[in-house]
Amino acid sequence: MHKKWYISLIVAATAMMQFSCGGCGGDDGHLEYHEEEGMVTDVNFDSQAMNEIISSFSSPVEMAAMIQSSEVPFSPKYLINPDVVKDYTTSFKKALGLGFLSADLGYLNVYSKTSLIIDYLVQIRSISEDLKVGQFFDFQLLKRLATSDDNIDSLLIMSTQSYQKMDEHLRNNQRSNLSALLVTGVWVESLYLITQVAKDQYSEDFKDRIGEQKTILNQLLPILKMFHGKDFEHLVQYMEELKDVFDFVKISYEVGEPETKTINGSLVVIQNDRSIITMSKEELQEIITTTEKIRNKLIAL
Amino acid sequence: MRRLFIILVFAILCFGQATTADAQCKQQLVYQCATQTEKAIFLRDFNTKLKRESPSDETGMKFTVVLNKGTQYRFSLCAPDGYQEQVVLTLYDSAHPENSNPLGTTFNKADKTDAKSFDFICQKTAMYYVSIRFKPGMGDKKGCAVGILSFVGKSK
Repeated sequence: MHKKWYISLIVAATAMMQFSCGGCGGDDGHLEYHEEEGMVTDVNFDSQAMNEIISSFSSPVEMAAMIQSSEVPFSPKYLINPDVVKDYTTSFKKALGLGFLSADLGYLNVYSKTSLIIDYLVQIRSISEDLKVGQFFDFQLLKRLATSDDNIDSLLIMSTQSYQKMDEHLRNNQRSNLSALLVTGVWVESLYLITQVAKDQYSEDFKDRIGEQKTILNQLLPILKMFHGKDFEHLVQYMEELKDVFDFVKISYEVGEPETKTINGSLVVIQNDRSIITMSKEELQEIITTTEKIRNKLIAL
Repeated sequence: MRRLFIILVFAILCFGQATTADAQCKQQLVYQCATQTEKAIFLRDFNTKLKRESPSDETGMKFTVVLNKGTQYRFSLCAPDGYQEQVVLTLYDSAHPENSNPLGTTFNKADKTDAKSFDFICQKTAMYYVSIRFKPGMGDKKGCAVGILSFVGKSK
């Protein structure tokens, strides 16, 4: 009898510990994990500042949402074949690949393409488990949500949150190198999506959105340079190529104070600071071509 | 043995309370908050621990976020029952400081009214800050709050 009570208590205590840590952000599930040699960081950097910058980068859904709100039809030709990541053998490639697939999953989610989502979920699960962040990716739940069009909002929220939790966990557990690769993968694939759309269907909106990515690249590149190793050197080299074509983009600023209005019962803040993008169609074409080249090189890295 | 059992149960309950009180909000609240925004696409959440040891303490957390030109975003704030009136979400940047002249906030200091959300029409791609904190003079207990960033649409 006493033995039974004791076992019950252990089970209760274990459950309580797990439950109480359910929302502990990145502090839970501390795992021993060894990165490949070469993926070490510069010792002279402010890791908190670096993590703040990495965490600020856009959600894997945002570029897709912008494309969809422009009423651009869905096209599977923009997407990576998810099976390509099966050949990725290092943490470096897997983290970058996880970023690519997360951006494509965002695109599929926004366009409610549930029939195509499962293949991406399968590969994301596999990579996330290899990177020891699989505990934040509830494959069974996401798969169940993906089997019905009625659950698309839940699927988008849950899968975007999974990405956010994996990224937070990596940063909070001294694996910022992988987090930086994750956001780089998302950013490159998102840039690829918008540039491919602009190639097929030019608009001033797309041109502005692409030109503004110069600001993001100028923040991302110094972060990537903080990490050492052959793979990072190649990555930085590719991103420098991209920077060279973005250097033609001119961004000027107008200063203004924000206005707050009530529109249809909602509080709306209109920013009057303004950035103005200047770039020729030829320069845009150069960015489109270089982005495609770099993205394909990174997939094959 | 019975005494040992009681002590163990008590210890487990204390442990549970201590960790949850000092933790971020539960997933259920995050999900509820994310789904209450109609016609907007969820982008990310800002799950925040709130704790004030003394009246002068700065509570809550600050997050960085890149917002893109030509986009209308929505910032929503949710908190567990009893905390809704005590917390504030603020959007700011280096030119519009959090405490003096922020870009947007859920709490209007002038008329002391709260909004569950506000939209922000971004005209400059840059890094911004989002803070979630107890209002001045409030928050005598530990708590949590959740901010949600959503994509409302393109804007010119």
